[in-house]
Order: sequence, then structure tokens, then C-alpha cells
Amino acid sequence: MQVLANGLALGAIYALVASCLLLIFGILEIPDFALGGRIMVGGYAGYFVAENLGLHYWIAVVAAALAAGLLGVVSELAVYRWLRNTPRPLLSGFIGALVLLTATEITVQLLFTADFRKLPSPYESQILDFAGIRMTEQRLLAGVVALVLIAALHAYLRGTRGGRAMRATLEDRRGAEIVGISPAKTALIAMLLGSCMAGVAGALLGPMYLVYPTMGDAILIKGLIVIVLAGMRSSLGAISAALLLGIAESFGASYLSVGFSDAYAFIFLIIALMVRPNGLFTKSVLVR
Amino acid sequence: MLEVSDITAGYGNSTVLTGVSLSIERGEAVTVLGANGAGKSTLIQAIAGLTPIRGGEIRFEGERIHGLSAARIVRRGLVLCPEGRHLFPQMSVRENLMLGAYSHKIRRSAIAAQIDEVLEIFPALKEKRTVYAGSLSGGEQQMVAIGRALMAKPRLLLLDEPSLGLAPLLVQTVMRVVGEINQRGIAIGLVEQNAAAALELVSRGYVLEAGSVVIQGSAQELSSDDRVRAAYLGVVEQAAD
Amino acid sequence: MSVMSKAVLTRAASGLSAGLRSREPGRREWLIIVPIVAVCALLPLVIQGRYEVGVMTLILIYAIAAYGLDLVLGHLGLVSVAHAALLTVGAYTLVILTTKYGVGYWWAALAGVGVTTLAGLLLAGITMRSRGHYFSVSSLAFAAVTVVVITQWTSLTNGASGIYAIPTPPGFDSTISLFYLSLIVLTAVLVAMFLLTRSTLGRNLRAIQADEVLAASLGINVVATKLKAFTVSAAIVGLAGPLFASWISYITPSSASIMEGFNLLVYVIIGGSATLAGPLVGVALVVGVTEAFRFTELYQTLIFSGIVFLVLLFFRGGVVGSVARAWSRVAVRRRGPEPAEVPEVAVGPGPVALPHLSPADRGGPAEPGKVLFEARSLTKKYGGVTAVSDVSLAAREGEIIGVIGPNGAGKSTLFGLISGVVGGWSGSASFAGRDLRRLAVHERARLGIGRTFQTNRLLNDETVLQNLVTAAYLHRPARGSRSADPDDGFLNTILDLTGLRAKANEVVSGLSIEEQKLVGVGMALAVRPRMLLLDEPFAGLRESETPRLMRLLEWLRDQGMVILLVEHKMRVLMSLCSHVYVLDSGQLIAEGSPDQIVNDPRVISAYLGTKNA
Repeated sequence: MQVLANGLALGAIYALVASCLLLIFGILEIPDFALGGRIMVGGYAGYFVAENLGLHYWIAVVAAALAAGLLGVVSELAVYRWLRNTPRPLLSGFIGALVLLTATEITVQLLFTADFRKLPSPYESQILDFAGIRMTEQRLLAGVVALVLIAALHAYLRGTRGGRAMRATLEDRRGAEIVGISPAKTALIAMLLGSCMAGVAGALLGPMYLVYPTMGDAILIKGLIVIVLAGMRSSLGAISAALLLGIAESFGASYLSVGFSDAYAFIFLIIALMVRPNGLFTKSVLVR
Repeated sequence: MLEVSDITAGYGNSTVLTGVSLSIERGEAVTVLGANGAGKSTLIQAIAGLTPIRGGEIRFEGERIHGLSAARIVRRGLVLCPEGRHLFPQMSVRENLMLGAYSHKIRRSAIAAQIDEVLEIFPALKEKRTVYAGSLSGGEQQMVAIGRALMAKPRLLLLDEPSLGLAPLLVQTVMRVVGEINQRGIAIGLVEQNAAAALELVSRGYVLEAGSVVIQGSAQELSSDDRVRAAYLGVVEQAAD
Repeated sequence: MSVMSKAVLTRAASGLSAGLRSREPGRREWLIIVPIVAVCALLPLVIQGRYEVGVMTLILIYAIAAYGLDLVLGHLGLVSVAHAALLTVGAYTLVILTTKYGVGYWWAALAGVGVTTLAGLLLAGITMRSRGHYFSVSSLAFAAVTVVVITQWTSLTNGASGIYAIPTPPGFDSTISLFYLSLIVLTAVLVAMFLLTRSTLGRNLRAIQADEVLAASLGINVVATKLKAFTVSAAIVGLAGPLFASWISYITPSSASIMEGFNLLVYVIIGGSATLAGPLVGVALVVGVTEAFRFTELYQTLIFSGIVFLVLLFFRGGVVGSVARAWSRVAVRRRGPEPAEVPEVAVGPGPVALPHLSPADRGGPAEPGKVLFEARSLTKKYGGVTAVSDVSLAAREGEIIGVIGPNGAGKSTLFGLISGVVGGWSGSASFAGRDLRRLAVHERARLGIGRTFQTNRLLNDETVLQNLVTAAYLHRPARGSRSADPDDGFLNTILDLTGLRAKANEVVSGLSIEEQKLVGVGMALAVRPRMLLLDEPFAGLRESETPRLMRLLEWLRDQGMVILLVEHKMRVLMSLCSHVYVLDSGQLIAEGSPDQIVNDPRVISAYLGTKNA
């Protein structure tokens, strides 16, 4: 039970990151590796607000969302928008995202060194004991906030005019353009939302796993693996795959080896790709 | 109303349209005929702002619209119902229709009233309001596509192959609906492969071949033109030989 | 400048520009290898410092790895972040075998190449069947996992603290000798890359990168070819691994990191992907500038990743590509357009016969009337929509069969089912006695099913002749014939039959739609099919061109070929076809002779329009 609960909390954060990646990939058609950088920037923003300014943890979380969101908007306006108009957008977008990721990480390292920092949170020292499950408040909080954010994103997509426009773009880009939805505006909103949520993820992880320039890499790769497993389209599939991965890692870390736990996601991916080369939840497309 | 003068368009190195000119008057129904690959779809997409043009001019109600975004063109009342429908398959019929009015920022109640109005034209869709558009039959999907275009309150409605893949009875229904829409004062630009059905509906037409207008005239003139009969009304000619 | 060296330079530049356009390089492009290697070999005479020679050695070693990477990036269009990890795998293999197990250096180096190749094969085997982003994400994961495994497997790898005192190759222990050893390996790689781009494998890779569906329909085994290319790529990187270990003499898991993999990508993109000189130029430029200005590695990556962004936007083809483009522009201004660097077609005798096109070499002589293709109850559903429903048809040798129906009736899907592009159908289909169900697209092409596509699919950046040569790949003499040489008369004949002889050396994207249609037909013929699927070949053809294509089809029929023809032009169908199937909304609504079809009331109402009934 203990292990399962830990796994679910971890899986919820994976699901949050995967949802951001999926949203951005669906709208921009770029696998946004630089999201890992924005998770990290969120972590740092949270750290400085909480540690240096001494403000409350929740203000730090908001600051993390704002900082990452701003970086996301700048990335779209300064980089991604231009790469989408090159002759091979798939390849350019891919390399451009890598460029952004490394540039963010290096800039942060040059500014603040590669030291590990601990984002202070009042919830990290509190340990909950509920029906034999022991867990820090921070871990529980992280899981719950992640799930709430995912739910909020879906509520936005279902219930509002802007969300509906975004869903329309996800489902049929041409159709969306035809009814007058601006692709550029939609892309900007998707980047803003996805990046803000990634920033929150960074601030949630900060107290548990420390803040350092490459802190976003591992979680980014897991988020990517999760959406690949889900066939790059299905958000429900991505969320279930994320929770599964979290649980698998948690069990692996307790019963097999802690050091190798980052490798389990890859094994997951290998098996899935061998069974279904084009993802677990994909449909065939007509070739004319 | 719509004035297309001498436009050129293409993709990459290849040119698809060379010096195409045509016009549509207020309230008029006009067709563009042509074989697959003649450039019909490129023409209609250029007008709707989905494909950039390389030369020439497109004016709508006197103002230049080429170079404007598709969204702005829709707001001016020039709306496209695309080939292949491009519906949002995992959204309900109602949501699809709502999105049709996206470019007009109006209140929910006004949208609901407008949806009711559109559903009057397509009574068959009334009971399918909450069904996913992707699960409808081809004919129903075409109705939703036309309905979605109507939600944008067009003054000129461009239809790209609305009969595509439909059974004959449904083709007749679609054409009848298009006729009704025209009678409400909405101008129609109809791109069709089914020349016989199209010519029955419109007052004038253009024939596109290899990216240029080769014949134009009234519907009667086109129906009796030997070249059109041979190429697009095909068999009649053969059977009569 | 002497006349001689000017000529060499001109040739080298035109070779470069040919490489840039990812077309087949000219025969003389190898000339640029000579000055490259010569300059490299002479450099230590000018720059003699121990440190400087060391830097130059590193440049050569990275260049070897960069060529390996470019085989995947430039020729398959796949972005791999895993190549630094592969390099590290090779390096660690050497280090562990020599320091822990006392294996001799050369054997250990050989094992390093072998293990790297196997690791590449593993990664490729898992990912090559999938398309798009799956590979790149997997390569990220591969790099991350390599770091994890090396760090955690402390008993073997000494974990994060790394391994010291790595031996140098015996006999090459001085700085300068390691430089020349690296140069020898690099030269071999350069020659191999040059030969590869001109080989059948290189042509097939270009076809796959341009259009996988087209490549498969020409009989190219897409998955196997990609697998082969990736494995070769890993092997080249494997060559660099042991050299790298010896050069650096202290290795840690961080060499496998995503950042290092990204650096390799930076080299290739800045230098010029898919050019012969690009990867080396890129490495030399980036590492050279870094050393000259004494950047730390972090600044290096930061600055050059910014430059990569600019290259993506404004300087496609990197340094080498841009220089070549500028050069050819200057050259054109000076003496008018240069003759293309592709082999000219020898003007042979006109079309006489098509010995190679006769079904005789494709499984016995044609027997007119024998059923070659038969399908029963073909059904294909997309989600809830039935695109093809319970369609049965048969085709006999020496017959032209028409398939008509309104747009969207399922004709293209039907062709997709027969050619294998569309999977997941029910029913049965057999061709020449073979069950088609389990056969992939390329296997069906090899059996003798050729096709054209409604929306033309061609290799747009290549010439007409190169398109045909690629299409004829199934039928080249097994080895040896590397050049685009149509001397067997077969391609010549196709050029004549399609009327494309005058355009043979023109790039396809510059042709008219009409000519492109004919190239498509020519490519399908080059597969030497027994059955030809033509998807609206007459659409977009001028009236004056129609008779020529009709005569061609009749002639092919008389040779015993089966032709399945989707067409809207009724006059063409009436005069060509012996039997016509009519599809509507995915269903077969009528079949029979053209005369029967035209008078069938159902057909008239569905297709020909009620008005004319």
C-alpha cells in the first residue's frame, strides 16, 4: 500500500507533465523538449521566492507558474513560430526544441552554478500517517495539485469558448482554420497554459527532489515516453500510462534497485514499441 | 461581390493556377467545374485565405482580401465548406455548430438561437445534436459541415465538392439544400465534379483545365457546349454516338 | 591561381552543391575528398604544438562520429540524440576489456566496434518500424538509460567516478601518431560515405526519406533498409569510440549524456547535413572556434546552439551547403548555367520492343485469359465508416479493367488494399496464386504489382532519370552497377514510351503536372509489373496527350500485362477496358462490359447524373 501510494503521487506528476506535452504537441506539432527547461525554471523561481525573499510556499508556486509561462510564451514567439514555417517543420521543430532545452539549462547553470538547492516547503517536514500509509504532506500535496490541475485543464477544454477552439485545433487543424480560429493565437495560449503547469510541476518537485539545472530532464523523458505509449493523441491514455509508470517505478525502487529506477520507463517503452510500433492507442490513416 | 482577377498560385516549384479570373455577383450561384487535378480546390482555398496567391488580386465586396488570414475572411462573410468536410469528429454536432459561429463573438443564448435556426434547414440533425460528429453517416456529416458554415452567417458560401462520396439520393438532397440556401439570398460558389447536378443548380459556370479557365458561360451554354458534354457529362455523348 | 587548381575547385564546388540538394552526387565528387585529406595530413607540419595536435586529433575523432550520425540525420531524416551514447558504449568496451581483463588493444577495439554495432542494431530493431517522433524520443531515452546503466553498474564501470589510465593503441602512443591513425580511419569513412551515397542503398535511402509509401511500392523493403543504414551508422560511431577513449584517457558516464548527443547534432547541422564535407567542417569550426576563444564547454554549447537555430531558419545545408549554393550562383552568373552533374542519357534507338518488360521474366510467359488477380469480399472500415464493402473482382492477363465511381466511393482505398498500403481489411485476395494477406507492400511490388498514386508521389528533388533508376532498383544486376546508367535500354525505352526523353535530366519538381503524371507512370513501369494499378492517370492530361498514354496502355496490355484503371474520363474507359466495375459508397453496384455499364440505370443515377438518364 505504501509503495502504491508513493507510486500514484509520482504518477500524478508524470501525468501533469504528459498532459502539458500532449497539449503543446497537439497544437504546435513540436515535441516540446524545452518543457523540461521550463519545469526547472519553475523550480528556480520557486526557490528564489521562498528562500531569498522568504515568502510563503504557495506564493512560490504562483511565481513558478508565472516564470515558466513567460518563458513558454517567449519560446513560442521567438523560436517555435518561425520553425513551423521552414520546409521541414518536423525536423526543425525537433532540433529547435533541443536547442531551447540545452540553452535554458546552460544559461541557468552559468547564472546560478550547478549546485543542488532545496526549495523550502512547510509541508516537507510533516509526515502523514493514514491507515498505515506514511507519506510526507508535500508528496500528497504534489499528487493532489497535479490531479487538480489536470482536471482544471480538461474543464477548460470542455467548457469554455477558448477551450473548445483549442480542442477543435487538436482534432482538425484545417477545420479550425476554416471556422476562423487563428492557429497562431491558439498556439500561444497552449504554450502559456502548458508552460504554467510545467512551472507548477517544478515547484512541486523542488522540495522533494531538489532544484538543479538538469532537474527537468528525467521527468521530461518520462512524460515523453508516456505520450508515445499513448500514441501521441490520447490524453486519457497518457494519464493512465503515467500513473502506471509511477506505480511501476515505485515498486521497482522498493523491491529491485533504486539506482536503476530511471531505466524502467525505457523498458516500458521497449516492450510497448515491440508490441505496437506506432503506439498503443493509434488509428490507421487513409493514404491516397 | 467576389472579384478574382488573374491569380496565380502553387506549391513549391510547381504552379497550379495560372491567370484565373472569375466573379460572383450578390445572391448568385456559380459553379467551377473541372477534372481532378485541374486546380479547383487550390482556387477555392486561395479565395478562402488558406493558400497564399503569388500574383493577381482577390476582392470581396470591393475590398482586397488576399493576404488576410482565414479568420478575417470568415468574419467578412466569405465562408468555406471544405472538401472532406473537416468536422471535429470527437465533438458533438452541437459543438461543431457552435464552433461555426466562432468568428462572431456573440453570447451563448444568441448562438443557441442560431443553432435552432440552422437545424430547421436540417431536421434530420435535430435528434443527433448530442452525437459525436465522427459517428454520423457521410450524408449527415455533410449536412453538419454545411450547417457549420451557415453558423458563420455567410454572404458568400463556397462549397468544395459537397457531393463527395455520397449516394445519389443524398446528392440530390444536398443539392436541394444548397438551392434553398441560395434562395435565402446567400451567394453560392460551388466546386463540383458532378457537373450535371451542379449545372442544374447554378446560373453561371466556369470550366477549369490544367489551372486555367478554358470555358465560361451560363448554365445552359455550358450544358450544351460540346467540350463540356464530352469531358464532364461524358457518357451521354458516348451513348448517343 | 593555376588553371589546374581552378578546375579542381570548380568541380569540387559543383560536387558540393550536388550533395547539398540531396541528389545523387556526381562521379567526380570524390575529388573533394583528396584536398580534405591532404590538408588534414599536412596540418601538423604547420601547427606543431602538442596541445594543438591533440585538438586536431579530437576534431578528426568527433568527425568520424559525426559522419555516423549524418547517415541517420541526413539520409534517413531521423534526429538521434543517442549517438554520443553509442560512442561511449564503444569507448567503455575498449576500456573495460583492456584495463580489467587484460585483452589486447586491437582485439578490444574490435570488440568496441562490435558492441556498438549491436547496441545500434538493438535500438534500431525496436524503433525502425515506427515513424515520426517515436524514434527520437527513444533515442533520448536510450541516452538517458546508458548514463544510468554505466553509473550504476559500478563493479564493471567504476560508476560515476570513471576510469583512468586508458591505454593508447600499441605503436600509436605519440600524439602525432594518434592523429594520423584517426586520419586514416576518417579517410576510410569518407570514402565509404561517398560510395554509399552512390550505391543502391544510398538511392533507396533517399527514396525512403522522401516518401516511405512510394519507396515501398517500388519494392524497397523500408524497414530492412532503415535497419541496415542505422546499423552501419552505429558501426561508424563504433570506430570512433576506442579512439576517443585513447585520446581522452579518462572516461566518465557523462560522455553519454543527452547534452553530448546534442553537441554531435550541432556539429553536423552547422557544417551541413547530407553533404560530403559538412560533418568534418562543422566539427572543425565548432571545436576550433571554441579552442581559439578558450570557451568553456558550456559557452560552446550555448553559443553554437544559437547558431544552429539560425542555420535552421536561414542557412539550410549549413556552412558547406550555403557556400556551395553561393558558389554555384556566382558560377551561373559568370558562364551561364552549368551542365547538370548527372549522367546524360545516351540517345539510343527509338522504342522497338520491351524485352525486359515482358512478363516472361516475371514468372512464366503470359497466358491471355488466365486469372492473375482475384479478390473476394474485400471490406475495409475506418472507425465507423465503411470505405470498401464486400467488393469482389478478378483480372485476367492481357486485360484492362476499369474501376469507376464518384469521388470518395472507395476506389483509392481499394487500390490501397491491393497494393498493401492499407491494412486491417477482411476478405481474401490472391495474386499469381499467392495469398496477398500476409505480404507487405514491398513484397507485393516484388511479386509484380506496380502502381501510381492519385496525388502524384515522386522524388521531387531528383531528375526524371534518377526517379526511374530508383524505381528500377529491383531489376538491376545484383552488384556492380552503381551509376545511374540506363545502358540496358530498359529505362531508355520507358523514356521513349512516356515521351520524357527530352526531360530526362530535369528535376521533377520543375516539370508540369502533366509531365509529372507521366513520370509516375514511368516509375510504375520500371518496377516491371505484371499488374499495373493506375489511379486516374489521365486526370490533368491535355486532350492532345491522351492518345499517347492510351496507346501505351494498349501496347502494355498486348504484352500480357494486367491493368487496373481508375478513371473518370469515360471516353478513355470505353475504348480501353474490357470489363468495368462500378463502386459507389464503397459498394460494388454494377460490373460488366463498358456498353452494359453505360446503360445500367443504377450506374446512370449514381455516377453519370440523373439528368442524362
